[in-house]
Amino acid sequence: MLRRGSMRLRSVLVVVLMLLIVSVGQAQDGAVNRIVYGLSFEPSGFDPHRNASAELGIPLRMVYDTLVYRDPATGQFVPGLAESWEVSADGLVYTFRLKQGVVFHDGTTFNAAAVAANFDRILSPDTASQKAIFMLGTYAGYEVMDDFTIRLLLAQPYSPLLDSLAQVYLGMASRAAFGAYSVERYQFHQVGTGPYEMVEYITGDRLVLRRSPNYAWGPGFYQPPAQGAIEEIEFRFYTDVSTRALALEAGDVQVIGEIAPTDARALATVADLQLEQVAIPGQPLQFLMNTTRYPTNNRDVRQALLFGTNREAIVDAVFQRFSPVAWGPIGASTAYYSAQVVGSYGFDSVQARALLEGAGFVDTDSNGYYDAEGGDLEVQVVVPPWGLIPQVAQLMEDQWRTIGVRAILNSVPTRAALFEAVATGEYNLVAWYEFGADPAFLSNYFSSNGAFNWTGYANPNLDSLLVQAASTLDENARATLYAQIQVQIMQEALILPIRDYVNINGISNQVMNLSFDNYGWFPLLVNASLVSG
Amino acid sequence: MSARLLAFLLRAIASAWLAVTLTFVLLRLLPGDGLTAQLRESGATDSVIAERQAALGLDAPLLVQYGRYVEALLRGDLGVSLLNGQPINSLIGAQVGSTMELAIASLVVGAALGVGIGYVGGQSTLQRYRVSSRAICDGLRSVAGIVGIVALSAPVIWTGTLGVWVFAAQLDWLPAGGAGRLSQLILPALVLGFATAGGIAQVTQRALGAIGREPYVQTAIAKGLSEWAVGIRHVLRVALPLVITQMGIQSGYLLSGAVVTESMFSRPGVGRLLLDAVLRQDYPLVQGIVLWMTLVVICVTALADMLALLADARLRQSTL
Amino acid sequence: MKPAFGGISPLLLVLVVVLIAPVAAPYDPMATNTGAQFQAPSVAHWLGTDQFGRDVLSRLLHGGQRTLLVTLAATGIAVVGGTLLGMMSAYRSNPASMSCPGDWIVFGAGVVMSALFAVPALVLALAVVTLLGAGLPSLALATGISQVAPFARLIATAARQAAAMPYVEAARSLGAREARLLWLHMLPNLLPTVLSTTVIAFAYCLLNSAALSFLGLGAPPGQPDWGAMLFEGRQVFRVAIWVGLAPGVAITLLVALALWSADKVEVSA
Repeated sequence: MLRRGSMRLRSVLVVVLMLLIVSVGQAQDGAVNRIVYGLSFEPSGFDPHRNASAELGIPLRMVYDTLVYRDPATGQFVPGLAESWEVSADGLVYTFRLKQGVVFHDGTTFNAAAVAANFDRILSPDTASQKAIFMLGTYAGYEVMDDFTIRLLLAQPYSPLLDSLAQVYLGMASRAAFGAYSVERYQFHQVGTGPYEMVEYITGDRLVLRRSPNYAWGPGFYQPPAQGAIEEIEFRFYTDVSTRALALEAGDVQVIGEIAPTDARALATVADLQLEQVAIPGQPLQFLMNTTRYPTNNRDVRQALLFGTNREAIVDAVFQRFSPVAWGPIGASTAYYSAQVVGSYGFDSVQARALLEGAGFVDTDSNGYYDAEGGDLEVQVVVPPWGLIPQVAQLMEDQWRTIGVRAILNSVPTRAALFEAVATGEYNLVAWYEFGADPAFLSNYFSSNGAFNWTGYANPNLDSLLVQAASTLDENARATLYAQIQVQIMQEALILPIRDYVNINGISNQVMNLSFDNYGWFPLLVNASLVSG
Repeated sequence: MSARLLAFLLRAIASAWLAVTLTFVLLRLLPGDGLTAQLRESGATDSVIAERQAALGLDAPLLVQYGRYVEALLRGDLGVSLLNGQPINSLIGAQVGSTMELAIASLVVGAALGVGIGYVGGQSTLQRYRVSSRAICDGLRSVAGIVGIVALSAPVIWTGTLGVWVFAAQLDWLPAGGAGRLSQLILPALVLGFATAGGIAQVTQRALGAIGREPYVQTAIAKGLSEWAVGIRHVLRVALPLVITQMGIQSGYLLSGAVVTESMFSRPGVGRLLLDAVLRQDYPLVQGIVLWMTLVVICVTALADMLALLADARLRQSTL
Repeated sequence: MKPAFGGISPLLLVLVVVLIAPVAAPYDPMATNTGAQFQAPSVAHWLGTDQFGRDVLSRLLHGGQRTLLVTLAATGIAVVGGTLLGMMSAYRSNPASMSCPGDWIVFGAGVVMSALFAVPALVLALAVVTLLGAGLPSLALATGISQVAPFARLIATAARQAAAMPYVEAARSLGAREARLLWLHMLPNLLPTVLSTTVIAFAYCLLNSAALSFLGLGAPPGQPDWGAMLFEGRQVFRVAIWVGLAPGVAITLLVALALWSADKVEVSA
């Protein structure tokens, strides 16, 4: 009877082994130069004109070209599908001269009419754009001058326009393709002019790109390798963070982003792969402090919270030192970042207590917390679940205990719930960050009528600085203005910055020369090559 | 019989309606929705947001929205996703295969493990007649008992984490997650299968206990057939329909288990679609998936009931 | 009744121990010490430390109390709702017709049961958490409601069997009203079943609340809770498997004990 049992076991094992062999065989079939790229979630949709996720740009950056690009080395705008452009003195007319000889993957010609059709599509109510349309700012229309010249007209000067035009959400798609498919179906049949063509997108499963044979009109920093170029890229969704590092180690993927810091520490010792830490420009992870609600309406309290937070300890424990400590309202890789704020409010709990006592707080019941209206000195913190924010908040809670402030952490499960919590006004701090290479987004947060003025701060001086900075075209003038803005925000202690956002990518040693564009999220797969390992 | 069928259909329709209505009300009680949050984040003004909501009919009174929703449902139209405009029928349809794959693989694992555990654990009634290998069997039985109760008691998140730690991180035998290759199905199927094995083991063991006392089984043993042979030839064959019924009942559990398992192993499927839809507050999609799950649970329960009747009939037949 | 309670006395004992366990905690479960991150089990920290240098044993002991309170509250909701719903489906009825009021009650109870079965705990939890705020009461409510239907199904099966018993028939022939029959005659006789089902419900509430914590809908960040600890453990298992090991073992053991006790109650009933 035992023999019979073990026979059965053996046959089961044989079947399992056969299946394994078959599946491994499948994976090795197909194109030689082929990689699997792990995405960290599946966006709700993949149409760049329509959907908003940054994740969609990771594959699609290679499918579309944009009128202009930002050079990753310098951050300057360089020609893309537009070989040159001029901005009128009043900043209201942008004239683009387009490259000739550019063809979409479906064989149709790229010209001014194609650009016009893309703008029509983005603005069409049918498209119901969730992001691209809002990136156009004060855009008022276009004029086709000739086959290869187009003008964009603005109602008001809007200095971030070029920055928007450099992003994949304003990528140029073939009008034959979006004419042939409904707005909802186009995401499965996307056609651009980029170095890679879209082969297929199977929801929930994969998105596949194949190298376009005729691509010859990329920006200067697109430098395809002489040999070993990646022919085919399969994007797969590794939604659970702890499966990502393991998938890379097992060789299931050759590139994967957003590796958990603790996993990255474990990977640092693995020989056949490398960690590529890419700083993402935009806001650092920060807590916006409500200046209209007790007790954070008191600047001394806000400053005490800044002094009382040991950011180095947080970066060490939660981010395993894979992120720099943040000191101001924009990350160090953002345009017009000013180093003047570095080191302000370094951890100093004595100073924090002194500020609170100077503001009149005492601990009469000596329970360790200062007294406040009707109890202990408390701050309400809105804590969303993403970005390791709950971990950061736990440490802050314990750190503030030593400066006599009690933090009440209120979890919000979704973005909508966070907006709702903020709308009630019943919070002292709310965790948030937004990405972007141009700091124009600061206007939304710190001008008195900004849509995200969650600090409730209203100061005409700061307002006018923000307006000037967003409408000036002169680079140096903008740099000066944004430096002033950053300093003022920190002087007023409007935010508690924690860390600059860093995307930890894991890359197999077989993949050479993979770098990322100026916005941080998007890999320049066109420059990468594959060596057989 | 036709009256009974009618009652069943009536109940199925009423249950589906109530589930959908409950979900509708629960979700609309929540402030905000995924699309509005996204638009706000992209910098849309309040008036633009109001326009977009009006275009989707979200500005209508709740009762009107509900009426429209039910009317569309009656036409078999589940609506479109709030965030990507795709028909919900096709969104769910695209994920059903993957979830079925996981559910079937887990059921196979669960049945094999469960029947095995239950069979070993239920040997007592037969072993009474053979003294020779009693100590070994007692040992085996205790092990089976422990494995069975652990299978019933361990949280799937925990067994999943341990499974990944052992088989993917330490031994590097199996992939930790993802989809597309068969090897990536093994670990999730083992984890979810292990969780279902507990219930199946219980049923198997009880069935064995009950049937082992039947005179015809004892006669067979008295005739000198080995106990394992008796077990397999007479007992297991009779117990099998009961086990199948239990597997049917477990299917409902598998659906909810799929939410955690699919997200834990980065697998596509209806469970993950539901989790994404809930966290993105894509209401129509959540409602569609809940309706789909209700129908599956109702059908599977009915099927299990039918199988139970069938098993009962066979049991009587073979006893006679 | 006595043997029935005898069956769950080990469980009750363990529950009391878990409830008072925080007094045995060697450290403050919330006190962080980032310098002592991810220390393996040692003499100083028997179960090691977590990502913030907190003592896992102390968190386990404190977390047990919280988890247990949530689970007991959830069980209470499941028992009350489930008994009501389950008993209602035992009204005297004829499945092939819809002639008497009892039929409609049975039908209604059945519909509510399968509808509740179908609404995912996840959706319930999201709704409750968003409406009442994240926290232990929300977790208890969401978990409890999601266990009403399974509980009701078990009670309904037992009640339908009991409805065919001679004492019920006798009372009925004496002209007892159906409601009176159910709640005054049958329910007391079903108490052992209710008890064993309660213990099973307790087990599933414990498992379910852990699953909701995994989905990020549980206790506020940092507070010790077995489900939340399991979730934390999952996030760091590559570097510190012990963080999730201890709460996993604790949950498994407690659930196993509950299921074992339920079996004992059933046998003695």
